[in-house]
Amino acid sequence: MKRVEKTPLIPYVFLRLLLRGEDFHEFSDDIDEIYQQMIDGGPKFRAKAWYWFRVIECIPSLIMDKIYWRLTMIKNYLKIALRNFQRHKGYSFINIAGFAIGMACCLLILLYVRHELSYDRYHKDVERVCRIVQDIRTQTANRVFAPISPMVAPTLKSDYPQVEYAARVRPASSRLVRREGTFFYEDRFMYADQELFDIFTIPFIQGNPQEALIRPNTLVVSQRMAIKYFGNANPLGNTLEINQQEYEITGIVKDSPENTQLKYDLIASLETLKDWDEMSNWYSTMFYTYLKLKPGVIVEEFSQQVSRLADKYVGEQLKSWGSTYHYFLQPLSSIHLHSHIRYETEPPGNPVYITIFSFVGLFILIIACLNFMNLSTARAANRAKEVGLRKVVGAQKLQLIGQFLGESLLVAFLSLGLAMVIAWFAIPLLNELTGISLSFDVLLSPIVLLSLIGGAVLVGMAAGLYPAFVLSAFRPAVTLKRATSAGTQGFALRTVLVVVQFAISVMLIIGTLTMYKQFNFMKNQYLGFEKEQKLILPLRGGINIQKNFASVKDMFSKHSSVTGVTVSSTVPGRGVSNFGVRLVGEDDSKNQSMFHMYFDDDFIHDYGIDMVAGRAFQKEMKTDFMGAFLINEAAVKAFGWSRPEDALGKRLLTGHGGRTNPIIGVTKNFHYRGLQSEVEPLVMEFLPWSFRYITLSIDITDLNNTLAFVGSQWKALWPGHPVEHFFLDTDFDRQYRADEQIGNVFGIFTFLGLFIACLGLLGLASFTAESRTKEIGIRKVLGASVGGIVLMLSKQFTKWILLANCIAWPVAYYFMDRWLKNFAFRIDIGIWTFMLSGVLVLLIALLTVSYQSVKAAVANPVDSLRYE
Amino acid sequence: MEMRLLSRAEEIILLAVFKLEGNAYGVPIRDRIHKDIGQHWSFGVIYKTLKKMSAKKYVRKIASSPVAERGGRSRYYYEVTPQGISALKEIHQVHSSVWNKVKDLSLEKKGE
Repeated sequence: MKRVEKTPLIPYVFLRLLLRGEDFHEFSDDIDEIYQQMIDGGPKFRAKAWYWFRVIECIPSLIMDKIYWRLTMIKNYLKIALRNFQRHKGYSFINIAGFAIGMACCLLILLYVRHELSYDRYHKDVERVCRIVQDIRTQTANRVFAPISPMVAPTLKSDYPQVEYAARVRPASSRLVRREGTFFYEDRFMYADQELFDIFTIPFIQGNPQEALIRPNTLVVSQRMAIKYFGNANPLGNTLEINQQEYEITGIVKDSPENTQLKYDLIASLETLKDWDEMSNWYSTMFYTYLKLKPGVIVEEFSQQVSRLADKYVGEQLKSWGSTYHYFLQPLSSIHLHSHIRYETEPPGNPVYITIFSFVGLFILIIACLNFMNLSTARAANRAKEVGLRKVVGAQKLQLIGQFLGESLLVAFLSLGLAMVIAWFAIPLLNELTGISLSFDVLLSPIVLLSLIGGAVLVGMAAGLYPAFVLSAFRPAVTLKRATSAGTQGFALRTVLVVVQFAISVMLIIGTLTMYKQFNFMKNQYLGFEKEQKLILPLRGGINIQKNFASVKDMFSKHSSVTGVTVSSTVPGRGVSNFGVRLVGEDDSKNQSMFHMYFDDDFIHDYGIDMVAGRAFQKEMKTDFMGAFLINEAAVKAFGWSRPEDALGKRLLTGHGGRTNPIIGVTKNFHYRGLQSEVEPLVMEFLPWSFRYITLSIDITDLNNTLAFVGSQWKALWPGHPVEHFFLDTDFDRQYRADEQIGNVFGIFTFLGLFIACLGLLGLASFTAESRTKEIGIRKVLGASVGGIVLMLSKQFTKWILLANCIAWPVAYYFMDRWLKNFAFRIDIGIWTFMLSGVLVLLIALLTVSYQSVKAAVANPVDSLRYE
Repeated sequence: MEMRLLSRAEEIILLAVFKLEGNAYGVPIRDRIHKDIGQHWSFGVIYKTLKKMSAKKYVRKIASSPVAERGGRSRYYYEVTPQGISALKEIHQVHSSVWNKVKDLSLEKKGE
């Protein structure tokens, strides 16, 4: 019978979408049957409405039905997947462990990168907050200072309506803080204006943030400090003594986050300093100045406008000196990574390391993914029968792809879970190693967690897509007949994957070795002075030995282990100050900026610094005391003299107050700063008011005794000040610590990357050995030796590793060459590093495959021939 | 092993198929249910339940020879299997033992 009336199109399409094949016809024909009857017996629209209604009322139950059967299939997939995990424990371990370690690396790197990028971004309205810094230009030099004059903040507020808030901050390290019996040195102390709390987000727990720092001698403390000094008592209204000065506590704030350039523990009011001469000095560079601009002010434009703000007040004076002050603004959030000017509040971050680590993380993740693809396709042989059977009973290709993708997603999620556990354990270790404080909690915030899950899905998909397509493309007739041959498909691709993995590993190893060599080189390089067996006593918390340094030296030399005592303004590796220097008689346009060091008459001798011309300071020569200069070879060059002897007798003008004295000697260049930088010109004076360090040259055979002696002498000299000491060599090497820590972390990731690559190789080797079981059996029957077979199986891998080396070497060379350019004193990248890395990787790889090769080679041919 | 009891929908549909004695396909099953309980059920619910019961082997699906009205396609008839019969017996027994000793429920309610 011909269809009398066509069914309504839209519901028909609905059904078509929801149902397939037989189900669809059964269903639609039933509705159609009644529909046709209704068309015959009544108005058309009623029948149509009826049809519509029937279909719509069915939709919920049809969808439920679909989900029900889907779930049944998923249950089956899950069961099969778990069985597969169990049956091939080794493979599954390699897959999940490799993935998990890769992900854990990525998580940690993510945390690190996030930490670095999040610096000072948490403040309210941070896009309006900036720091104003100063470029001091003289005819000869151009120096950019982060701290500037205290006059700038008030001037900005009175002259420029664009500025909403302005605050000055003067950090001062190592204050002696005392309350009743307890006293400690605290490093995170600063003076600040009240408006700091309007610019930085510093949440108050107690006290009034509007007026905490208005009066002199008021103090805001962090929660940590409140507990340290007051325990359970309420600190508010109480006092703390800091460097012999009483402060009233007016506020308690939350502890400083780690990702800010101003880490605070104690914030004293800047009003405290109001009577200090420096407070009205336009030429001083001591105060960091932070601004919050009014909404709508464009930072770059405003930066231009304030450039010459000092001219109105001191322009004439500056002009007479031949110098100009240029001010400019830096957005607060960009300072940590992108500002590298003089006297930053803390060592700046390095965007290069962020890039490097992002790449390393990506590399490791790629290695883990490649591994997964590699192993899954290699294992295809084992799954071929299953695929064949599923296809025979009606599985569609899409379904199979779904199944295998699902399986890799499952692995990805298991790995993510495991990776979180690994990260949880690794973070404390990493913090210790790097000196950064990363926190695991970040990973648990909903957004991060969601994106991690998203990431796991992506990675699972990326790793699972290729195997899924390969597996689902098997033709049942072929796979059911011959089970193992299918696995050899895609062999070329797998080779490429292995080569890429090892190329990456080799690169990472070369990187690590080069870094270690460079750090070692820096540590063992002769610095131009003796850095061993030097015990340093820093004088902090207001100790002054300007008057009595001679008797202090005597006190400490009264022990047989102490072979020398010298006092100085700084020791190598600690900061040096710089001032403009010129020859007497030249005008101030000839000023050159040079570093200065002040020490007594024993310093040159105790430190074993060589003289190239003239003589060192001598006790007998009374004029040496505050009346003579030493310079180093670099300074000789800077003044343009060809021989060191030419410098002798020339008179210099330098420093605060402009001292004019003759040069009496030239020292050989010695590294008073780390080896990252060249030795720059240095001027040395015998100037007691700046002595801050005592250096004891000691014999370390009886260290405990010596330290006890030092302690008792200290107590006799300065009761109430805790004694501190450190060794010069370790302290000096601390300058490399930031780089070295990065090197350590790099090393760890290299190891992990290699480990993951080896896991992959192991899996692949065992697969290769397995798929050639029969061949090996026949070879043995025909008389091949065990050694011969091991060699045959290893040869292939060796070729791959060699190829990987060829790819890795040039790339590694390029990057390490660039990295080494950071250091003024650096090693040559020797071919040996490359050879060593290559051989190392080859050995590790061969060791990895040897287990499988030997196992295959010694197997009894009777068993292997019966195999399959 | 204890068999899981039939659900109410399964029971109603299974009984409808049983009573239709060989003429059980979609349209008559739906009519039968309407006669039995006075409600029109959607085809979706009916087929969903039939599919589950096929998987449990309570009903068997039989394709007829091609039917002209259906454009030469088969009609699919359902038949209760012996397992289906015993499931029905069981639910019947459960009903009677559950309802046993319950006297005039409606009167008591009205008396309140």
